[in-house]
Amino acid sequence: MSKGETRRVETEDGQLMLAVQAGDVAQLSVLFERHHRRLFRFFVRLSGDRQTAEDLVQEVFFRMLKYRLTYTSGGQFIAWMYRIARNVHLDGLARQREEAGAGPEDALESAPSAGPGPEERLRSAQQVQLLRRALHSLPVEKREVLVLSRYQNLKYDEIASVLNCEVGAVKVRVYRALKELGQAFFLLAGEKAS
Amino acid sequence: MRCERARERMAESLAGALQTPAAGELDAHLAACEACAAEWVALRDLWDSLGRLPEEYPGPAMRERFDAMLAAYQAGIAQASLIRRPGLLEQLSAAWLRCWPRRPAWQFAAAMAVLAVGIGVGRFSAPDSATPPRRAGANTELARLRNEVHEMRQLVALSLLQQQSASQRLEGVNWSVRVEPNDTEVLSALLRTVNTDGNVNVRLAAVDALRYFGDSPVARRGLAQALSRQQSPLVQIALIDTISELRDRQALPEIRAILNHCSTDENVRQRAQAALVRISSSEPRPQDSRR
Repeated sequence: MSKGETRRVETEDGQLMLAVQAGDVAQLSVLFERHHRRLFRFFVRLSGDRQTAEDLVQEVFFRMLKYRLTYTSGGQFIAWMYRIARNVHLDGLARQREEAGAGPEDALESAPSAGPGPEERLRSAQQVQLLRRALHSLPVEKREVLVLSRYQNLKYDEIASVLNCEVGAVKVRVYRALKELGQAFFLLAGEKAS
Repeated sequence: MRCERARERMAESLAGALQTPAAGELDAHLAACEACAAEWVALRDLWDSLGRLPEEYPGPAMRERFDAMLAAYQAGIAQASLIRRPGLLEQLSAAWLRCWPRRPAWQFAAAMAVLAVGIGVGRFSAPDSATPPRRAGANTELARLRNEVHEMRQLVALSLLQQQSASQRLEGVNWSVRVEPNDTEVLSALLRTVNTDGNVNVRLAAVDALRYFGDSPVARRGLAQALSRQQSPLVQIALIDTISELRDRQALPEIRAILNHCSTDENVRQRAQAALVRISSSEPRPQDSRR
């Protein structure tokens, strides 16, 4: 998609959300159609679980409805949506911790879903599995920024808006997350080999 | 370009976000620095591998769930907008809101009048053989009236805190400090408001109101936990100030965490630093020293 097309879509999304805000809640259906897949992929990468991801996507759109008055016409819709998504994910983690008792938050998340899938058709299926595990082993803040940068097609200034930090901080965080992912991957690969 | 700078730009380059001349500077550095060049190759391979993770697609049930949720919401809105006869509790709370004076002085006078009526009823009502002595009966009646006043205020506060209008929720926060300081329901509602209300002014007012419940360990813990959940620097500062005034030493870990977080606003950071000093140098409360 060209820059011009991206800007046009972003403007349309904003206008749709303003319509929802004004009471035409049926327009949320259009936003759902446009964005639920990318949100689903975002949550699958973060949580490693399809069912959890589906639940979280629903929660995001529910909160868009509930907090529609907080959307401002000057703001970027995508960044606003991902801010909600991020909070939904963090709230989900907090609920998991409360239900399971205190403990390291990332240890309580479900392991990546196993089972048959397209990866079995790849020659590097084991590598894919190791990479998934390595990604899932990262602290949630690092996993978040890596997923936003690598998979969600967000620009650095959009990621900065989502994470409420400076663009410079995003650049550093992405680099450090990638570095740590590499270390985790090779550690797991070494364990597998031995 | 130094190695540290080059490494920070590697991820940016992989994401296709590095513009010239920075991209040219990075290329030049990689051509001259073996260590960075090796790191670049490793990161690039990793980045490419991430791209080969299979794409995930949601099932068709997601659309159905969303449609059901939206339909239920629209049905609920339609029902709420119909003119309907309010229930007894709603009638009572609406009547109470109309009758209860707005000025504090008049509120006090009204409360004293209610108590006076209650005492009068207790004193002049004829006791039967089963009732306790008159003095104890008057006290019981007084306690009952106080309880009713409290319950009514609680009802008003809780009802207003759930309203759609932000100004009504603000009114609810104002009402919340008129209940007993040990009212756990209103306290829970206030903490929920701090953590989830979509209006920053309502959240700020709720933080302020929580000072009233400052003796409660639940309130103090709730304030500390809210600190890590807030995105708004204004609300973060309000929380830090409240925790600081309450001299809550058990909140020190949360304050240190926000002080050390890389994305914390500078104003928030300064406030947190000052709070650390103030709380650390204060006398511990009796319950603090039990840990």
